[in-house]
Amino acid sequence: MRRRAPLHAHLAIFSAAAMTALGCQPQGSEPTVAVVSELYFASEEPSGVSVGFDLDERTSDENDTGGCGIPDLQDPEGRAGIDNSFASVLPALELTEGVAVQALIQAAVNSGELLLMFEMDGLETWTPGACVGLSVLRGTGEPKLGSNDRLLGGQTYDRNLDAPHHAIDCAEITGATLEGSPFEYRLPLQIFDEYIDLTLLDGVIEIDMLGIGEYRGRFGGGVSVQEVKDNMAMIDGVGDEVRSLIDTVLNTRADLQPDAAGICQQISVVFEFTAVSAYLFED
Amino acid sequence: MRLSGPAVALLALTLLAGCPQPMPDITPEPPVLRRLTAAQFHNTIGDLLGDDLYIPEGLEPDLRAGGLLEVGASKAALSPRGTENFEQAAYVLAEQAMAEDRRGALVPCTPTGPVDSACAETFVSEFGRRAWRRPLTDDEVQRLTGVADQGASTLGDFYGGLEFALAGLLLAPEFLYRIELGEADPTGAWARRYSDYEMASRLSFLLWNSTPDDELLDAAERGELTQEQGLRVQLERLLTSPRSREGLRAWFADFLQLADLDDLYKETSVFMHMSDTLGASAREETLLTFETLALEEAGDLRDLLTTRRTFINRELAALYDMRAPARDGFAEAALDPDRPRRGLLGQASFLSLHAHPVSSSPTLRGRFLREVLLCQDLPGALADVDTSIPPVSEEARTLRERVQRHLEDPSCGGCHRLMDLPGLGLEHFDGIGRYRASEEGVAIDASGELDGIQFDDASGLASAIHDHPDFIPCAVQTFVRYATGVEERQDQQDGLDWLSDQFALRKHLVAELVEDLVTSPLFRQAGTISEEASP
Repeated sequence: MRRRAPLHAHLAIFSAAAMTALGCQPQGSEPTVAVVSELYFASEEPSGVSVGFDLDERTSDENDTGGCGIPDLQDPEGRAGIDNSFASVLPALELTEGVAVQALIQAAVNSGELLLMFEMDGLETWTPGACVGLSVLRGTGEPKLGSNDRLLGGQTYDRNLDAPHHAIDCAEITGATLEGSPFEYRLPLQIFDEYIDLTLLDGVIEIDMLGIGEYRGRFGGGVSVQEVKDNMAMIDGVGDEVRSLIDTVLNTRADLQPDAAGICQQISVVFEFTAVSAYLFED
Repeated sequence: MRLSGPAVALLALTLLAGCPQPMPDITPEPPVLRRLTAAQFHNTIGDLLGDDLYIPEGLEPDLRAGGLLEVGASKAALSPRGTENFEQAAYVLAEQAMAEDRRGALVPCTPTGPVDSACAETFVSEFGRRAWRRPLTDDEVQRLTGVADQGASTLGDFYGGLEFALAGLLLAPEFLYRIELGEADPTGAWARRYSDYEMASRLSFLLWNSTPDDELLDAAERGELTQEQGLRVQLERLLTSPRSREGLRAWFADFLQLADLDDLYKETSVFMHMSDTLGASAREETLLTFETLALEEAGDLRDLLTTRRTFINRELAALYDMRAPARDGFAEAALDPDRPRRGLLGQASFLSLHAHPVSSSPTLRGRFLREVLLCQDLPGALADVDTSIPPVSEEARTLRERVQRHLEDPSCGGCHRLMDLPGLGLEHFDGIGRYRASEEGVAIDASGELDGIQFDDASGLASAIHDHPDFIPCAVQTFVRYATGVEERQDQQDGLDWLSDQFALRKHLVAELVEDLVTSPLFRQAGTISEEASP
């Protein structure tokens, strides 16, 4: 199994009360559901440091051809080998578009256009090392927001049957974190004025339990450079200069899956999120 | 035919239930004038003129007295500003009612010209009887017909003239107040009784929260409502009408002071689920619970405290952190049997109303339980006592720990123990009713005590209120106050006790309580008019 960054201490506030509450759920109860209320690209901050995963199980530097010469980052706990090359692309992208990409993603979450949900089956006993069925899906509905301008917890949504669904049969409980891989998911993201699909490949997801119905986590994986280029090509209104600039950035920052010629075909991307409890209509 | 032993027993029980001992003699309350509450004004206008009229709101605020708006209505004067508002509203309503597309349904004759006294008189007589809930005297008819004629003559428009007469009817004290003064009882059974038309009004506002319909007024005209048989016929008609749900919901809303949810204020930075619609949603949950379980399914009133069934919409489902039972509107949902939330005390209406804008309040919740659900008197806070709760500190992080100061202070503890010890049982719910397992990182201790009954959490508290010997007498007392508009006197206690006993015999069914009260002297017998009784 690929090595993951361990849980950050400041995220692992899994209180006894929350454990108790989860333990209250009867055996065989229905899955626990959460919806992502905040979603954003993990940034490189400070320089050389990012939340993320060692996706390729190697610690790359400028000379590592296996990582196409893109140096890996460290996570906030100082662990090396973190792959999140997209973090260095994001500022350029935002400068190019002139709009904060993060804000666009959050707007999509708040409007209900991007209701990313987790269905966790077998969470109730919270036994370390136990297998939890983890499904990643999308919901539909018009969420209500709280005064913090984020989705309120406890809301009920419909399943979006047209959106992709990814199931991990055995996500593992470690400490206060649920870890699952391989994680693959296609996310619709508004980068310019249109949505483009970003397919995360061969990734990892971690969900930390913060309290009753409160979660924080991260997921990452590789995104095909060619897919991004193809998507960009279909968007009207993107000038040749911008498209060329993005192509260049992607080519120079791709850090995963080198082909026979040593050219990396994927760029590593990491998202961070917070999630709150949610429900799905049964029918 | 020989009856079996069980059949005989059943027959005996049936006969006993059907022929209860009569209510002991009581000294009746002096009659009062009750101003229509805002809801009654709205409903009455709807019944008289149509549901789709624009009805101005906020004409004069309702007043709560004796715990009820309905008692406040008998103490509420009309302010100069309120008088102006009602006058303005009367003209607004009259103008709409006499609009070309509507007046045909209201005016029973076709005018022969701009001035048609006979037609105007017919309208004034017929509509006036419904508006004033009694026939108008000849003088009243002539005066209002004169107003209509004069207006019609000046405007050259019959219906323009009728607008003035209609506005006059709607502006009159006979419309805005329920004038139920009683009359000498010609049968000699009592000294005074409420007249047939007054009984029509009392029945209709109690059961429909609105003005009597023509059938009820006709029964009054026939003298049937001062006779027990006739009264029972109309009582059954009104009770079996779907409209009785609305009327009895109004009682329950007044009982639990749910009108205050209109002004619910919570700090949204503290309570993320607070919204402009939460108060209305919370009220509807409570009223649907009452309507469905106590009225439609004829359940025991006490079981509203302990039921795991509730009726919520998506907003409340999110607040309670449970799956919404329906995509739109309200629907029934089952509360988790392993959680402390159940019954009325677990509903957002009660939990949010009796809390502070930024926190829960064991004191406010305990006070409501004592004063409103159990009708117990509590002393007020002493004027020179610091009632503030200490801020969160290392030593006192939970509200339980912080209110401990009140409990230990000799000048506060006696009263605060009465309120806080039951109120602490609801600490699993924050200031708007969302469940919480901990506060400031400390697991909530929701244990408490109510009149010698220890409990572990809100579920146990619900059981303690359900079984409390004061709950049913309190509900009965509140219902009698609501029906009569006055606070009971000490020498009526025997009558209230009789009603409570009957209520218990009849398994605490609300419809039975209504019947027992309406047919009793408490509702039918009028006292001597007191100058102090009304504004």
